[in-house]
Amino acid sequence: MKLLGILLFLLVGCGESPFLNDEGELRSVQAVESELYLKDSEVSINTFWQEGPYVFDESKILIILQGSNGTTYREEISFKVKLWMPGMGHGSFPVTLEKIADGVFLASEVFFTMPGYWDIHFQVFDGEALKEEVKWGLEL
Amino acid sequence: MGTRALIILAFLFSGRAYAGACCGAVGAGLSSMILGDFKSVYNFSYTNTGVSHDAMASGDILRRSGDTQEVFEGLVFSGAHLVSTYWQLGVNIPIRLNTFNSNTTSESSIGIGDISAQVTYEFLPELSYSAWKPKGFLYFSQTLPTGGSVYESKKPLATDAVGRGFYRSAAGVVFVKVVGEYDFLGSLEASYEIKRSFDSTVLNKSFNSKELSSTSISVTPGFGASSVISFGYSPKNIGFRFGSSINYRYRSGRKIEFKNEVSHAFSMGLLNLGLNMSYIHELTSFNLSFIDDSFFGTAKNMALAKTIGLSVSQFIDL
Repeated sequence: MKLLGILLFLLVGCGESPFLNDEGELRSVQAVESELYLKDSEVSINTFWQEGPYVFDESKILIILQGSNGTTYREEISFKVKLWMPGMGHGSFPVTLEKIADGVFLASEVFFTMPGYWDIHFQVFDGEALKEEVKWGLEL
Repeated sequence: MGTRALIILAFLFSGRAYAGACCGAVGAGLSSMILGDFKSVYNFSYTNTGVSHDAMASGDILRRSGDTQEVFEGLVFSGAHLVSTYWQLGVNIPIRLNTFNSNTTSESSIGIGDISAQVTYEFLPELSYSAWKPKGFLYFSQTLPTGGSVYESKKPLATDAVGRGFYRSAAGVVFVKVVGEYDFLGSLEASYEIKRSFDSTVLNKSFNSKELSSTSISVTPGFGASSVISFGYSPKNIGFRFGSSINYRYRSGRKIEFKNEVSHAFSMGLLNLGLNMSYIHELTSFNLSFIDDSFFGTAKNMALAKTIGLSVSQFIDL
């Protein structure tokens, strides 16, 4: 019985523990604006959080594509957004893209399913083939 | 001869729900096996796992906001049967209910998880009294991807990922020793999950369309390892056992192959603490357990949870 008590004590006394001391910090996320550039298509991508970024809840991103002349991109483009968590090796439910106006898109159903580092991939397709992409990294 | 302790030890390793809809089990631990002198054992358990922290790839551990609730419940039936003096066969059938609630989102799914079968050989039987020599078991288990994985998920928060999604083969060794009112157990396991291709809906939705299309990806989870150290105390004549266990699990990072690129995820690791209490009446045991993934503050790249388990085990004598 003494041996059991000593072993239990050693276990409890083994350094700091988020459980026993209720340490750890609450996660907080920050809205981020960023400019990204698709080199081959000569398109700048400007992103603005309409909602979020949230972990677990739905986020929405307003995406404005700018051509090389500084105006919104007016040409036809096969554009997709993909969410990927490289450290975990999985993505998230596919994003819905809605065209608001020429070169202006609203990405909804953006679900970050866990905290951590995410890559938002902005992809341009030529038919079924991926033509080019640029990644926007976020730590949530 | 420490029969009660061995009854309880069999429960400890009969499966639990694992945190993380994305990732399922990081090492399945030990399947149910007969550790004492019985013909069969049947176990029915319920576990409730609530995610409380997230361990980053850096090893930093952060507490989850109280606004969200991610809960995994498991109902598991497991059984083992002695087919000859030293050989036994076992099976593990889980049902999993995943629930997620936040301020604005609510989602839940239920389904059959990954079913596993196991063959065990007692290579170190206790044929005569020894003060120090333990019983030893070797086992091999095979898990089938009967539960859906995160790569097949069709829900935004992936609660329908009730399994890992891979064929998993594992081999391990278990040593058990009962000394008077005390029992001790140690185990080691190595596992491998083979490469599998998915038509994943997580990557592709047609532009301006709510219809999901799929993209083929290949995922290779790779190797894993786990170990358990457990000890318990069964005071004489009261029918109770009080125990504690320390569990370590490791899994290598997944390799994901898309059409045009290859991505490598980080490895995962966890050291957790388990406490349990059992009551035995004849050949039936009632068990209560608690597992805390965040107790030691040692984890990497995974969600951490607290698990409560209740189970009933019925043993059949030889």
